[in-house]
Amino acid sequence: MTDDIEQVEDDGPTHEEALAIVAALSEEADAVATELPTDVKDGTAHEDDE
Amino acid sequence: MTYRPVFQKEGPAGACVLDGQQLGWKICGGLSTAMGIDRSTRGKVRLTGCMVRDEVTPRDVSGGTTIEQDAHVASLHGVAVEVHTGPRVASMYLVGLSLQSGRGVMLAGNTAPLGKGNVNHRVWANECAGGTPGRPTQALVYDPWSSGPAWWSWTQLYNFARALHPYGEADPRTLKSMGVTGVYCGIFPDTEGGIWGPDVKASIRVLDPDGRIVGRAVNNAGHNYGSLIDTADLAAALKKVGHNYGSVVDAADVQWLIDHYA
Repeated sequence: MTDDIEQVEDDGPTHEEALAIVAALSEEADAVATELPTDVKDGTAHEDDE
Repeated sequence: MTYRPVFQKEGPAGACVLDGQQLGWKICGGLSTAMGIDRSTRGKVRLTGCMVRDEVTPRDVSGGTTIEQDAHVASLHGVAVEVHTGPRVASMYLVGLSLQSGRGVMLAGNTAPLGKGNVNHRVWANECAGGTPGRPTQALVYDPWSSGPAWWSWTQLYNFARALHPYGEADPRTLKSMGVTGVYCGIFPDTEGGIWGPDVKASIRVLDPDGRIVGRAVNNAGHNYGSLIDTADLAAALKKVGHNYGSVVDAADVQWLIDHYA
């Protein structure tokens, strides 16, 4: 199945270019997110059989 | 090319039964984590989503899982996941840069924008293509609730992630409706960069610039080098297979290791 993945042209930045930016990155906190919970369960509401 | 894990599909309910609970549709987190571990270990550790769920501690077989729970399981297999939830949500800029710098990302979101109803869900984003730094045009997404990996537009991925209901599906608030621009995710290690340790001589590095071929040979020789290959790892691997490298490991010894074990 993995072999059937469509080929796409990648003209984006290289691994090294992205690494250099990440190294210099200083993330600013999302001010609105300060009160958000960390214990969000994913998949709970999925119906049992579909 | 970026390493691609084996796709793992969600369901039916009976596909994962733990302590009498049918969890086959509740393990999108376990499946995404399993694919992330596969990618991060380049296929050395392949677990099923149900195995990941079974390793959650403390034991939890109720509903789905959190990113924290699944990240802890990944750590048990030597895979360090950077968790971004709650006050530490990640900007899509960081998600984009992470993908562009060789890291896979496990993203939480909600399937409403995908037309599948209001379900908090988890997917594995393996790589991306196009665009500019921090803003790719598309991402290769392994959605357990689908038939296989597919390229999603960057906008589609963001819409999915921002649709997350952080207080549960019964609460109408989403990240987007609250004005939160960040997303809940787990960022896995870089599998595409070089793995040479700092003490390895240039004359050895030149044989294999990113070290991945030598890494395979070292593993095949029966030595676990961890995340970086140091000179001591090369010596240990050569010793394991009975190769006499003299007083110091040199390029000829490493070439021999490649020829026989890569």
